[in-house]
Amino acid sequence: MARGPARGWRKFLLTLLGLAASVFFVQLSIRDLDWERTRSGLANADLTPWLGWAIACYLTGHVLRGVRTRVLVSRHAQLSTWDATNVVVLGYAVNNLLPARPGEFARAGMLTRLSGLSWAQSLTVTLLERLLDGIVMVLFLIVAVTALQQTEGSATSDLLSAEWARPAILLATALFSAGLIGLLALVVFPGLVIQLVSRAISWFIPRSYAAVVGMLTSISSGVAALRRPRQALDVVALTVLVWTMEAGLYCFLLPAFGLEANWWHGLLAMSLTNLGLLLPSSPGFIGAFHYFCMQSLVFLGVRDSVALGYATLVHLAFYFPITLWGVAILIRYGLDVLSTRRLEQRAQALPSDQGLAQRLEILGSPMVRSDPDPKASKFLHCLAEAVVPIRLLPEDQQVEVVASTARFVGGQIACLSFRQRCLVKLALTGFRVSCWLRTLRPFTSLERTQRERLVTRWAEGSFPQARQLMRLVRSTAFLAFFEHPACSAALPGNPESQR
Amino acid sequence: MLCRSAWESGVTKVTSPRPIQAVVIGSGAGGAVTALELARAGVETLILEEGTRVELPDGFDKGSPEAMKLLYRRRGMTPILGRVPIGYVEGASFGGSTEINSGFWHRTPPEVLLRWHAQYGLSDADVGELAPHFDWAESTLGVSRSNEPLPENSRLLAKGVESMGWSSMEVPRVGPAEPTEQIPAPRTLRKAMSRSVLPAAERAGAKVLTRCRAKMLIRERRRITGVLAEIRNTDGTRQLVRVPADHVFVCAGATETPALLRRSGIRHRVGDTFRCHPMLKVTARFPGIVDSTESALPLLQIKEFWPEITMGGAFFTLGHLALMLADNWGENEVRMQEHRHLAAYYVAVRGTGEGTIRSSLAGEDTTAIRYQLSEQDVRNLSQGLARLAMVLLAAGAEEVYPAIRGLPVIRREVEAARWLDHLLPRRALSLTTVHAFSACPMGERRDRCAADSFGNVHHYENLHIHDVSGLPDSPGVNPQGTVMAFARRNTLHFLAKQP
Repeated sequence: MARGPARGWRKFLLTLLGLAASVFFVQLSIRDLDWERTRSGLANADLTPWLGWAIACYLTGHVLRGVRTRVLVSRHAQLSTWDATNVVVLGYAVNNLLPARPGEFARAGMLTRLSGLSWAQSLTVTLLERLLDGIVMVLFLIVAVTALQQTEGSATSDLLSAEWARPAILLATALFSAGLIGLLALVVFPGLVIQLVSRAISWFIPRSYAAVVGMLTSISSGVAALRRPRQALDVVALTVLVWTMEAGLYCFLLPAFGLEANWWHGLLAMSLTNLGLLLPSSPGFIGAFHYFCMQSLVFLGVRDSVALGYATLVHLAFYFPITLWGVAILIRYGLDVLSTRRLEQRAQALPSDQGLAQRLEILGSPMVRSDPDPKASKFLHCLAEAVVPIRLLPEDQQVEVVASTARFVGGQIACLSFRQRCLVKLALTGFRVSCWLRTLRPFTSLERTQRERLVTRWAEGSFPQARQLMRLVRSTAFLAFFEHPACSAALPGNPESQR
Repeated sequence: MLCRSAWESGVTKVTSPRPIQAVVIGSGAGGAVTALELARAGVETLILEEGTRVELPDGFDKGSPEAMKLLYRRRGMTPILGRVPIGYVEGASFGGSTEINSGFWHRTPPEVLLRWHAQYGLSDADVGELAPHFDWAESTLGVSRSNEPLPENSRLLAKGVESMGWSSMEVPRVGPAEPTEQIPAPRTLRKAMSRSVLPAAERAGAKVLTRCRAKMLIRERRRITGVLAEIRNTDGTRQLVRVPADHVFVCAGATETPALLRRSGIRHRVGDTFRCHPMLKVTARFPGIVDSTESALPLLQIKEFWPEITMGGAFFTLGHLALMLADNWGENEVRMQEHRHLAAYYVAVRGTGEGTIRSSLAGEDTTAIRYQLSEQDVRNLSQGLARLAMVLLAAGAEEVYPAIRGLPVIRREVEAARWLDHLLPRRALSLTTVHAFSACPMGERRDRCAADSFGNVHHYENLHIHDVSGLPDSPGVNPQGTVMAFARRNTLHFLAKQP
């Protein structure tokens, strides 16, 4: 019982700490700042086309993150790239909106819901991604500093001589190296790690033995994807690509402020800023983001005011698209949960035994009559007429058989799932438009032979989607047409027709 | 202790109904057998069935457009999507897919059971343990071989098989339906569930609620407390009801069981391992008259390459013939006039690709089915086509028309043999299937299975899967026998465990 309030206090303190850190970094960023020059720098920033490119890069990075999540869970669940990307984006958006980085938990929660993985496994996957991100970021920082040292020695020596930089970089390197060693041990020797931990647990906290070993097994399953060399390579390559795209965001916005679009500058700004974001701060990393991003440029000799303008623009590009996307996911996700609740509330009790008996009586009556198909549109009628070999039939029966065929085709299309139905209707509209463009007349006013030619062109053409559409129409139309008693009676060689 | 009295004594209250002891969702091969055994043991049992009771007249064509409206889910418009779409149909009336299938009967091949044991940890399910359940099902359904001479299309296939020196068998079928007042001597009606097991279950005390679609399972931690279901009234209105339950047996079929579980937030290994038997059809033209419409369902199957590849006669009506010829309609249209000389055959392979079942809560309850053909599937289909074409040519066929867009007519054995070494063009394939399964595999391996060896869903105390979706992977044969045997075995195991 006492855990609830204690947890609440911890959360409150963490939030307070984050806000204090934000205030501290904001204050660090804006002290001695020439506000007028910052404002004019931002106002004069050349956003087109750089902002568009930067956002495109950043969003592509998130799709790649989604692909990486999909690969990481592929041994236990099949997620689509879209779902996996939404999981990732949700995590980022929650971090943007709430203090103390609860996005990682939100992300794990949604991953659990979508994939069916256990909570511990999902959290492991999420933390694994963050660990890989951290390792790649440290590597990128080292690469950027090394590259810049050769070209612009003074700038990097400024950076490395900053009183906070060297210990911070060393700490991050040590932390991620330790994480990497732990990860490798769990990937390569999972049995050994579980055995060692279980021994230690049984000695020190035997009561929690089952829970800890269970969790460790889940964590071990969470990193299972890395045990396959091909998948491990994919994950590493994707992580590098993800951060390359993120560096693109920083790089593309440099020219917006009249700075050179130097790849190493972008890389340095990106890695330094993201390592800085590991520190607790307010929602959306306001303050911390600006400070570290600005400092990375200041080390390269950019004026404070321009650097702050740049940091502000990068932050906006970093913050808004993903937050909006995340809010859209939250709404949809929330609607899903709400609709479940609503269904439960709307549901009534099952009818009593007596009511059930009456129902059985009604439904138990013999019935070999299906609902009639709705009347087909003129277009479907003309389409059906163009699809089926109508000349097989005597003229007096053609209208009735084609009408029943068209009704059946319409009824079958109406039975497709909503998404498939929309696609088919869209494709049929495309077909009508294409026919109109080709003949400058609506499909329904064309001669039958002309319509037949157009249908054949789509059914046997080189465009696969067009073929798929006509295959659907043709199959349903053929079934209705050839199963019609008038058609089977009229078909040459049919014993019935000979009789 | 479970007892029957609650329902009969009318304890069910509108405001706070007491739980029904066992709710069975679905009335197909799995649901019917489960309900029968539960009711016989005195357990209060309610079957929720989405479809209606349909009394079919003798001679009713189950492949006709009228049957599609009455008996099929979404009138047969439930395609499996993927790079190669696969036409798939399943039953959705009282009796499930047993109302539309051919009634062909197979016991689970021993090697398949061994594989399930080795790969999924399926225990207590060897040939000896399943034998009494198969014996019971075969005697209940009157499974037997036909006493009549083979129809011409099967005789021709037998001739080809003999000349190739391969093995084949006449497949046993479910026996004819019992005579009733309306149909004193059924000729074509078979003992589907609605005419065999379900009436016995109702006599034993099971209640049935038709037109009732289970929308969601209500969960409380690791327990299912009931089912949310929607009743379609005969006046077109819908009513959402809550069905409280002590135990829920989900037997909603290959696609709906995983969809329902996923909609309910139960996702561990659910819907990620969907499998099917992709089937390729061919039409053969013989010099003599075959009159395949007279014997729509050939009985012979080639077992030489079984269970990886099965070949046999395909369902034949004029409508279905047109569908098989539709891929190359320009060249094949004329063949419709020679339909008396034509017969249809199929190659089915044990699918080894990966598929998924997904469901969306938003909007209508749609189920998205996806399956990606594996390289092995395409290879087996190619080799199957080659062998089937060879056997048909050996049987005297003049021409063989595969349902593959752009593939030329096969007239000589050397043209057929080409596909022993080459892969058919994937995108040109026109595939169908009627056998789907394995989206919620059973077995003791929790990393691969949704339920244990007796269909009890992992992590849930009172949720059970007793249908085709619980089969660990493709059985390689018509699954009705396997489903009935496993459903009975699992139910008897459940009853034995009750205090």
